[in-house]
Amino acid sequence: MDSEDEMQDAYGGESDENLSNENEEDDEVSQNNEPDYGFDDYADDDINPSSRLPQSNYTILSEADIRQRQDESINTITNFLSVSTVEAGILLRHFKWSVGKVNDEWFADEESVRKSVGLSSARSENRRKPLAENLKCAICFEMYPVPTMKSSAGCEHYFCEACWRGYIHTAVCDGPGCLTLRCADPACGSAIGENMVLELVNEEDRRKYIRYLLRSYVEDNRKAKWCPAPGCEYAVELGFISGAGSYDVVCKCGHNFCWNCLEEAHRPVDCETVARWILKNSAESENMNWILANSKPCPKCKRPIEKNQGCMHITCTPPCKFEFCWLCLGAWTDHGERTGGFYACNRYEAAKQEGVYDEADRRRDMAKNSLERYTHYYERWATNESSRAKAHTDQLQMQAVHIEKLSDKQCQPVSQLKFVTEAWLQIVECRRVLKWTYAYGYYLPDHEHAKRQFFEYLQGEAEAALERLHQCAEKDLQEFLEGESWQNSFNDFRTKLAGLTSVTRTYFEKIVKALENGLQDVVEGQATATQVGQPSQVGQGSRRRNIQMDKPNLGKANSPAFFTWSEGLRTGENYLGSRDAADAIRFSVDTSNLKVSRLTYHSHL
Amino acid sequence: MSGGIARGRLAEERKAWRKNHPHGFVARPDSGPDGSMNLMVWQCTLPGKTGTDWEGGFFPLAIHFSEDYPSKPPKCKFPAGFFHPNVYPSGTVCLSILNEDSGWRPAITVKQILVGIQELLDQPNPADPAQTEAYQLFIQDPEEYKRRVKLQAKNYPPPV
Amino acid sequence: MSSLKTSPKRKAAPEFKLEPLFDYSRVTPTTTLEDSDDEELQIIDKIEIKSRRRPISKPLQVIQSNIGRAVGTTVNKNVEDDDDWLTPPKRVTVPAVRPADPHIIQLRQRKEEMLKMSILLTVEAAQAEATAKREAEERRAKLEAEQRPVISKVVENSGGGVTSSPREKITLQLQEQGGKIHIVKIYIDDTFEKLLAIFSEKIAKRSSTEFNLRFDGKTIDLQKTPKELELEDEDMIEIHSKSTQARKK
Repeated sequence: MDSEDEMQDAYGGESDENLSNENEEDDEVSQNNEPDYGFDDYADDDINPSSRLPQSNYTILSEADIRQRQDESINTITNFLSVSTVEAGILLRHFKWSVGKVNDEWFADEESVRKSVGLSSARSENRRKPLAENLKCAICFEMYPVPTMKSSAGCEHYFCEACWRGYIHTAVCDGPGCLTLRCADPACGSAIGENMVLELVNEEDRRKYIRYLLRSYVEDNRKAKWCPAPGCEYAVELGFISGAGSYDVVCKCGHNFCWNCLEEAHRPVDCETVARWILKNSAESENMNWILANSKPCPKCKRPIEKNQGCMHITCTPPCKFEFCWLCLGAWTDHGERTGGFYACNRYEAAKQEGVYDEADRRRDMAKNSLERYTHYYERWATNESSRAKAHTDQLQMQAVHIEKLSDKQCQPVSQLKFVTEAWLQIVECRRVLKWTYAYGYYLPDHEHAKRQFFEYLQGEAEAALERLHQCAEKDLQEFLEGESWQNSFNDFRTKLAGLTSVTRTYFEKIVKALENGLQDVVEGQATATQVGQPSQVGQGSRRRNIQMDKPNLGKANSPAFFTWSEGLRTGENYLGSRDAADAIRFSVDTSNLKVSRLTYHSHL
Repeated sequence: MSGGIARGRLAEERKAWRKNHPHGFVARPDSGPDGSMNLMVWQCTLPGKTGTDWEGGFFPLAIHFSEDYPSKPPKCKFPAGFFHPNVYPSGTVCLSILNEDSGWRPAITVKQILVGIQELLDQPNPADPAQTEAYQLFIQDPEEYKRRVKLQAKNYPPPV
Repeated sequence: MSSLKTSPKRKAAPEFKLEPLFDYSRVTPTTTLEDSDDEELQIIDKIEIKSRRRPISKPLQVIQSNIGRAVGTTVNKNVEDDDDWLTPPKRVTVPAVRPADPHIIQLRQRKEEMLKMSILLTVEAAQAEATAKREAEERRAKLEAEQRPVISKVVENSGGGVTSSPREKITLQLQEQGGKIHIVKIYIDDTFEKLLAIFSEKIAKRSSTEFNLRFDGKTIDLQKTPKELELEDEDMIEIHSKSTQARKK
């Protein structure tokens, strides 16, 4: 099996998981069952781009949804176990809102459940009333008539009402622990029910308590979490927890985050890598400070410069190329005999004697390489993040303002302009993925040359693909926004942008999958290099195989993975070609450029 | 508790203590140099339990009550540096019933606290160490631990 | 209160399981029955702990009304309330007092005190034998009869008695090392030396030099009196044996 089959399987697997009502998905599933693993398998299912957006089995819950679920669970338990709603609430909170667990435990050993939860035993219903008329409250040590005192539902520890109020108030102020409040007697485990708390609290505590009740459903529940976006009130409940795979979810508030680690969505990188990367970033900021403290900015272009040779004659890196003196930061051309010689700037010596300069040369070599490497990745990670943020703003702007304008200009109904929004959403998503590929790259071991080179190739392709899309969505669209109405060319534009969107999406999805697989294709690809020429494969992919092979080289022969990837790119192209030949040609210009870079890469192999 | 019942409760606690307390235990509100009584801080003594390595020691313990008492537990402190796995270097005792998040209940009396701490002396809770020295010895060198405990008991002789 | 267990373990189990706080039986004093004919010292057997939390205001009201009638009365109000968990208290009979006696008021006060005490103590006397009860009654009646002259003497000594206040008595609890408690009634201006002497002689049957008394952790100066130390009724005084201290040192 060659690596593309792997990809296909992986993709098909995902669609199985995410059975949705969309027809496109059904198509995919049926395709997946076909014995033929042709390269065109997923060429036809991109009519609606949303089918390709990562989807998972999760539900966004509003407060009302949560309350409804709580009520439903309580009703179920009340009916099954023949307990009061208050008791059902106590049970469910104890068992983290798992109806199944409550049932299992209850029917396994009702008495022990009652005991651990703090419900009075079913048998001891007729609990002893105190015989005396007056009792001493064991909290304030004052005497009170018994009828004015209270005990929990399950015990006979009577305290005065004021002390109960105080006890409950303190518990509510202390936080969600008040949900499992027990009797104030140290030896008693009787639970304090919701009804008793609500009867004895003030309005503020009442609100708090009700809030804790609500929160407990999400916070105690293994399957639900709050959206971490600031101010967002939604919770996300996972339908099931799969052993592996992505936890990326999109909240109704628009926040895209990883359900597992609650960081922003980070496919294709796993949670552990993200955690390391974030930690690294905070740690490395120290190093960044080191740069600031120990390097000097080029007097002309202001980039930080670190002296890597003993010579004081510094030439800034291109394109600046400014030549200056490290000591006094003056232009090198100003130096000469009259400044005390080229390499002993007396201007510096004079200043140093006045205490202006510090000696920092020794530390300059320290940790230089690793820092450089990290900086490389960090810079790109950060740049992509800011690009993503910018794209996100643009996208919102597009939706809010430009779409309407475009609709006016081009006499198109807004509903027909959905493809523009789709394109922008895709750009945002791609920037996000691209950003994380740099964290991925940083942690990719140096010694795995094949993987690293393959990865860099993929990344380069991804950058290029995204660049094309971005360009089209930004620059080309601008013409239609500002220029005169060109009805025909707008249709071309629509086809082009929609096509680019889906091609890019496909490509990024494949990158994500491949990176998530740890670039297994490379390893397998190398092992099965000889399979390239197998008749069955040639038969299936003959058309493009021919195109690809018209410039055979060592790299292609060695790494079938590369075919896979170029196929991946061309899949979209192929699809477009089958719909609209003219557009396919337009694309092929770009791909020919890509081939050049690929050849460059191969020559290194 | 609204309105601050701390003092009222403590006065009652003191009354009850005068009339009944376990033998050898002392618990009395702090008194200032002018003889005024501060109900919010109690100076206590708890005897090491008979039959344990702690026997013979009469350990001073200060109990600091807050205005939130008895909603919130008081803070119990041995002298700083007290040798016990569940006593912080500051002397503060780490015990479930004194933990406002878990074990504390407003109906726990001073007597119960003191007896609980006496119990803790000979039965440390290794799951919740509060100081390294005693904890390490307790885990790794029981003989030395025993020696240190006995030594400490000697350093707190009965009041004369 | 009665079933507390010690639980020094903190957060040992993540499950919210409640353990009893501590075993109270360890500090619960044992009952002693002491027989004493001493006219100034009264030692009454006692069971501790439960009584502390029991409401006593109601029975006391009953007593007061009885006192008004100044006749021997049985006070057993508690018995009706608590018959399922407490044995009946001792029946206390107080002999009628001549109304013409000039010290009638003092006697009534004394009697009230006695009744209070008897309520407090008899209610708790769960294990007391019926015979022991009868003996106690007799003893008390006898004691009272014997004490009358003493009181008269006090009043005479005070030079006519401007306020006509009797020599005040105080009830103290003596707690032995093992937890045994003895209820002792002495004059408030008697020295502790006397108290200790009586204890050593009647109860411990050992020399009084073997013991010292402590209150609030401080050894009591035996030349002082309860009044000087501002002791209150029912305060608990600890008896410490010097020999065990010495041994421990």
